[in-house]
Amino acid sequence: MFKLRVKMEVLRELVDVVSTLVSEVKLSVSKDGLEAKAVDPSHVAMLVLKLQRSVFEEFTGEPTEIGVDVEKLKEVLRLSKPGDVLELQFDGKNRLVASVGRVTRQMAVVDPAGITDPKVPNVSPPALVTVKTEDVRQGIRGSESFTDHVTLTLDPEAFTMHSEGDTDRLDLRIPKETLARLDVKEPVKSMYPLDFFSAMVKSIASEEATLHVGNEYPLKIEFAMGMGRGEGRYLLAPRVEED
Amino acid sequence: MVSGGVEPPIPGLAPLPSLSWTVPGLREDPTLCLRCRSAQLLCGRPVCPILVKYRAFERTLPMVTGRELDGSSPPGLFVGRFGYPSIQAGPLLSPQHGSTELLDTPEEWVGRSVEEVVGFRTSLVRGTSRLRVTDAEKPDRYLESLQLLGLAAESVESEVEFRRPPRGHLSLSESSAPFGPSAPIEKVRLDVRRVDQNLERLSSDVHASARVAVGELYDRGVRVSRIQRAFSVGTLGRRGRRRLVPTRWSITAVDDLLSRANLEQVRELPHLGEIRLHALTALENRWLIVLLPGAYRYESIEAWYPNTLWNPNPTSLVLMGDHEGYDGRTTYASIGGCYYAARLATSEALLEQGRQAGVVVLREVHPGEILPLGVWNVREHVRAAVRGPYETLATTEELLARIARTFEIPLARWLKVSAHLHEYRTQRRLDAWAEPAPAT
Repeated sequence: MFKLRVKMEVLRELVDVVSTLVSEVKLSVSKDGLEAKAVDPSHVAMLVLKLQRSVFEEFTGEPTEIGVDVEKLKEVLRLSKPGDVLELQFDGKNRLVASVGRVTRQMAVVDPAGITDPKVPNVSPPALVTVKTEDVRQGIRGSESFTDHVTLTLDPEAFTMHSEGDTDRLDLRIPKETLARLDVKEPVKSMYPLDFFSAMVKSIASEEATLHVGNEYPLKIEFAMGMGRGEGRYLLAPRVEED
Repeated sequence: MVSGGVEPPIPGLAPLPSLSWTVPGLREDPTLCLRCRSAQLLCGRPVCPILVKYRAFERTLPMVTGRELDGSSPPGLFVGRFGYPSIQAGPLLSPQHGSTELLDTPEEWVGRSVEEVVGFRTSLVRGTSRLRVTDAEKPDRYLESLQLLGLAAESVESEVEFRRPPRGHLSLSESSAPFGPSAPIEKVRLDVRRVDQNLERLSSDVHASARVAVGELYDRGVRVSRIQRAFSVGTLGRRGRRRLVPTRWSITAVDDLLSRANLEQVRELPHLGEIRLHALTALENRWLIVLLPGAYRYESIEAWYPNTLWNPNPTSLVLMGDHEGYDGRTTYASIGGCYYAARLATSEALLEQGRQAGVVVLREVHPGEILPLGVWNVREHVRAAVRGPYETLATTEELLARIARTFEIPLARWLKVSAHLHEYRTQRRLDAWAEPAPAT
């Protein structure tokens, strides 16, 4: 049982991130705030997010787990406009009630027992870079017409993203001087599926994100949510060269 | 590599000359004919040059003389697509009396030769009458009897008077099975004695949508060819929404609806943990159905030898495929109806095996295939393949070796086209980095 009041923009961030990987999600409400973990059906990508209770306009209730159909939350968002504060109330059993202005929308919840609880692997890539998400988005936009994978390279001088099709190629190079942060001891390089990478980067509302990269190793993307009072993390398994 | 010359599908007929490069645009785009399959006339010709070539088979047709035909309907019917929404629809009629059911039951054709299947079909005369697709809602007496024929449980004795003696050619299309000459109908009497109880019940249910009706019939074990027939003649769906549906479209519509429903269930199943393989060779086609570990996804690839039906190209192979991910697809598959037919057959296999998996259907079409037999060829042969036992393969390398051994076409060509095989070989899963499960 809980009652939350939350700015529309915060809920939209949550929905954008979650819907990148899954259509149903288990949300855990505790005294510290709200948490979600999810893995995509093919086990290639994962997400973990936390919103502190201070992000919310109101946050009352008992610790609960609730399964939600993400599409329904999107419908609720479509009823709201920027600046609105939405109210979400869960009766502890099977009904979630969302209120936006004069509209209340009731919806059935999903049994959280039926939603996979992902085991988050403990990956710690050796190198990291903090980039402007818009820069990476530009590189992705330029690649999507001719390839399905991207290669991320970090060396002590720069962050590079390159993508290659049969005949086409795109390179995005951002030198150390213009990066907020670049921690690299040895150069690292991994290839990732573009569809996931693209959806992940596009879902991030924050202006900056930190990419943790290794050699043929899962990618970890960390970013702020809820005006700095929350955090999100994506994991993405690498692609390897064909033998 | 490939031997020249094409065996005639019907004994006694001379082999057909190669069509070689007479299709405009084919030289620039070898997939042109495969993508079109006579449906869109992408080459810009007013009639499909490939089908015209097979008009030669007209000579083999038994001539039905006179304007009257006394016999039976398997039951079977055909709804044309030209002129939509004003189309030609009518019964398929055989001069034989008694049970002719086999002639329109593709489920029973597995294991038979091209000659046999063509033989079944050429004895069927198609009666036609022009109707509007919306007539399905308020059928006149003719359409009413046609709709009843669509629900029939057994062969139907028939007497027909045509406006002129049936003439014409063996009608061929990629999706439906071939049939013989046709003629407009003047008068018809179809003596339907017994209707299928399931079809009848869903036909009188005017609140069930076509999707629901088709699904319920399938769950009750009604054959796909029967469901499709009832669907095309406008006997299913909500009141006000019933239409005549061209046979070609109705086959794919039913395959699509049924596989979608099956896949809803498949996505709830546990992931397959090993590589499984089903194989079959039939009617000049070699089939491999690969089940890959992990979540559901699907791909269908066809490889056409030179000088095969939809690859009139004299020298080069054409490989073409389409695929979908876990969530399925919303656009029409580029390779057409076969994609959906094989998806239905493989979705049944996944349900049967109780696992979701990545499905890759590989089909190698050999030079003997020069007649389009219809999408049933794909559905029923893939069904036959997956009904048989599967082989379990331990490694990706073994899978690739097996593919290389089964097909004449080099492995590299398959790998270049297959999105899912490529993904499977190169994409790692996060499970590889998960903590090892505690020993229990």
